[in-house]
Amino acid sequence: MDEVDRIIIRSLKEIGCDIEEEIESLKQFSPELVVEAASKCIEAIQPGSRIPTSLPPSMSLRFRIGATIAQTCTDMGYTGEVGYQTFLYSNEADLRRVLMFLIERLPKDGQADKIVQEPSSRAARLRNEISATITKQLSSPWVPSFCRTDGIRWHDDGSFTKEGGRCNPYVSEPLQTGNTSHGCTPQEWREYCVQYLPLVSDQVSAANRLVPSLITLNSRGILAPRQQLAAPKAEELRKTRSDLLKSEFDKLVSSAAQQKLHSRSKLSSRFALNERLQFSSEKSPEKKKPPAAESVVEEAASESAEERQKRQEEEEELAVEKLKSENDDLRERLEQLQLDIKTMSAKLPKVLDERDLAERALKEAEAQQTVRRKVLDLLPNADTNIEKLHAMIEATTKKLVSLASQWEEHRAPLLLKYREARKLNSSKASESARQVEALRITRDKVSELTEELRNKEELYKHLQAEYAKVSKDISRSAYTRRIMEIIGNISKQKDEIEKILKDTKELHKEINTLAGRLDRSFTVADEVIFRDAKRDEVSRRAYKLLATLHSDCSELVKMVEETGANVRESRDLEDQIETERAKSVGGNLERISADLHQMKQETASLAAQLKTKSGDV
Amino acid sequence: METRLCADVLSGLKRLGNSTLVNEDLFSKLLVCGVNTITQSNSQSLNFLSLATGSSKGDVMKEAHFSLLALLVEAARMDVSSDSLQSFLESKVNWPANRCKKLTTAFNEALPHIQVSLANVGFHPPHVVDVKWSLLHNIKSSSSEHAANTIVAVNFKTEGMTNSSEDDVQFMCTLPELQDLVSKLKEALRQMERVAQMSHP
Repeated sequence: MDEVDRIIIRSLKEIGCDIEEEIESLKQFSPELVVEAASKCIEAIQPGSRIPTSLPPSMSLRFRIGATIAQTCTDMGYTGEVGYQTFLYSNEADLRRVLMFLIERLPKDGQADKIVQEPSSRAARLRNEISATITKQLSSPWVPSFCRTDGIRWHDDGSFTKEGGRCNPYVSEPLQTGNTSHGCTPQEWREYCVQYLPLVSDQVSAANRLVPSLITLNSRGILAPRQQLAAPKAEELRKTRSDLLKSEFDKLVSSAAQQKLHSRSKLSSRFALNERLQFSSEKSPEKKKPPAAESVVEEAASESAEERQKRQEEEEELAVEKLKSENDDLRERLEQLQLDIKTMSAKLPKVLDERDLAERALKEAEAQQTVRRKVLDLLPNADTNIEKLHAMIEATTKKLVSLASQWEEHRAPLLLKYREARKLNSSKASESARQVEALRITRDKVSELTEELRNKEELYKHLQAEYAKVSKDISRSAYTRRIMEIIGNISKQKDEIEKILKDTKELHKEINTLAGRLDRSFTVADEVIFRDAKRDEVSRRAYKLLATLHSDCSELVKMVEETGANVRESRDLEDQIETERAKSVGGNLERISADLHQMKQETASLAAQLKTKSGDV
Repeated sequence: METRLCADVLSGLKRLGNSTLVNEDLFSKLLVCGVNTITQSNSQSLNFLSLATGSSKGDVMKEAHFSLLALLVEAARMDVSSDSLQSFLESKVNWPANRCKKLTTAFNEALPHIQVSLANVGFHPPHVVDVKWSLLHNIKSSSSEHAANTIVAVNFKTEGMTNSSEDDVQFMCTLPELQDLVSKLKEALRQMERVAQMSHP
C-alpha cells in the first residue's frame, strides 16, 4: 500500500497541496489535510466549485463542509460509501479509495500543456491576436465619435483600436540627415550642418509627414545603400550650363538667318525677337553710314514698297555677310592668340630655369669679387698681415683644441647617460610589449571565458528544461516498472496458490480413496469376524473390540475435522479483529465524543446568548 | 532589428551612445524630445532647438536626433519587445547599460502612442461611426387617396474618407429592405464572432 500512498501524495502535491516531507502514508493525514486535498482535487476537476480548503473552528461548519465534499463525490459518480465521516474521521482504507477515485478524475497535465503550447507558430499567434482584438472590439460598447480623438479608442489594458477618424495619406519628403556631402568640401559641409541644417523634424512641411519620410529614408537606405543619386558637382554644373548656352546661341543664329529669309513682319518666335534685340545695336551705325543711301530712299519715295523692301533685304544681307566675315576674322585672331599663349606658356618654365641659372652664376661671381678685393686691400703691407693671419690661425687652432677637449669632457658623461637611457628604454619597451601581450592574452581569455559561460548557461537552462520534462517520465517509468513487478509477483503467487490447490485436491482424493478402502476392509472384516463370532467366544470379543475401535476411530476423525474448522474460524475472527482495529474506532469514537461535547457547548452558549437577547428584549 | 535599419541610422545610433559626443544630460533631452516629436506632442522641442543650434557639435546632434527618430519608428512598426530592443542596443551599437534602460523604458511608455501615429498614416475604408434614421409615412398620393406605405430614411455617418469627413452614406428604403439589411448585418456580426472564437473553442 506504500506505493499507492506515494502516488497519491505525489499527485496531490502536483495540484498544489501543501504536504510536508515527513508524511509518507495516508495514515499520517490529519483531517485538515484530508479536507484540503479533497477540495483541491474537486476544484481541479470542476473549476469554480468553491469548496473551502481549510477547516473552520466551528463544528457545525466542519460537518457542513464534510457533507458538501461527500455530496460532490457522489455527484461525480463515486459508488462507495461516503459521508462527512470519511473526511472528518477518516479511516485509511475508505480515504484511500475516495482519493484514488478523485485523482483518477483529475484532468491530465499533458492535455493542459498541449492547449497552452499550441499557438507557437507565427500564423497561429497572428490568428489568436486577430481573434482577441475582434473579441475586444465586439465586447466594447458603442461610443459617439466625438469622444475619440482621431478615431482612436483606448482600451483598459493600454491597447487601442482605430475606428474611423482622420488619417493622413502616406506622403514622404526627402530629408537631409547630414551624412552625405553634396559636391562641396567637407569643411564647408560640416559648417553648414553645424550652423544651418534644420532638424529632420523641422524639414518636413507638415508634422504628419515626418513618420512616412523617416520610413522612406530608412527603407531606401536598406534597399539601395550606395545608389543614392550624387548631386552634380559645381564644375560639372558650370560645364553643362555653358554647353546649354552654346547650343541655345547656335539655334538662335540659325533661326535668325532663317527668319531673315522669310518676311520681317513675322517676328513671332522668341529667338527671332532675341535676334532683333541683339542685332539692332549693330545695325544702327550701319544704317547711318551711307547717308546717300538715305537720301536715295527719300528721293525714291514714290518707288514701290516692294523695291524698297528688296533693297532693305539686300542691305541687311550685305551687313550680315560683313559681320560674318568680321566674326570669322575675330575668331581666327582669337585662335591665333590662344595658340600663342600656349606656346608662350610652354616656353615659360624653360625661361625661368635659365633665369635661375644666370642668377646663381651672378652670385658666385659676386662672392669671388669680394674675396679678391679683400686680398687686394691686404697686399700693401703683406708681412705684418701675414703675421697677423698666422697669429689668428694659431689662436683658432688653440681654441679648436680646447673646444675639442671640452667637447670630450662633456661628451663622455652624456654618452654614458645616453647609453643608460637607451638600455632603460629598451628594457621598458620590452616590458611594455610583454605586458601588452599579457593583456591581450588575458582579454582573449576573458572573452573566451564569457563565451564559455554563456554556453554553459545555455546548456544549464536547456538541461534544466529537459530535467523538468524528464523527471515526470522517470517517476512514471519507475511506477510502471513497479507495477510490472507487482503483476509478476501476483502471477507467481497465483501459480503457487494453484499448486497448493492441486495438492489439497490430491490429498482430498487420497483421503476419499483411503476412507473407501477403510470402509470396504471394515465391512469385509466385520463380515468375516461376525461369521466366526457365532461359533467362537474369542471371535465374539474380537468383533466387539472391532466395533469399538471403529467407532472410536470415526470419533477421532470427527474431532480432527472439528479442530480444523475451529482453527479456521479463529483465524477469520483474528482477521476481523485486525480490520476493526485498522478502522481505529476507539480513537474516532473519542474524537467524535469530543466533537459532540464541543457542539453541546456551542449549542449551550448559543442558547445562553439567545436567552440573554430575549431577556434584553 | 539590425537588418531593418540602414547604415546611416546605425552610425547615428553609435554616435548617440557615445558618451564623449553626447553627454548624459543631452541624451535625456534628446530622448524626451524625440519621443514627443514622434507622438506629436510638441511641448518641449523648442527647448531642445536652442540647445542644438548653439553647440559646436550641432551636426552630431542632428544626426543622433534623426537616428533616434528612425529607431523609434522602426521599433514600433515591428512591435519589438523591450528585451530584444535592449539586447540589440547593447550588442550591436554598444550602448552603455543605463542608456539602454532609459531608452527601453521611454519606448515602452510611448509605444502605444507611436503606434497611434503610425496608424494615422495611410488610408482605410470609411468607418461607420453613427447612424440616424427617420420614418416617413406616405399617406396619400396624387393617384390614390389611401396609399399607406412607409419609407425609412437612413443616414450612416462615416469617418475616415480621405477628402472630407462629410461624406455620409444616405439612402431611403422600404421596411422589408431594411429588414434585409439588418439580417445581412447580423450575418456579418455572426461571422465576426466565429472568427473571434476560432482560437478559443
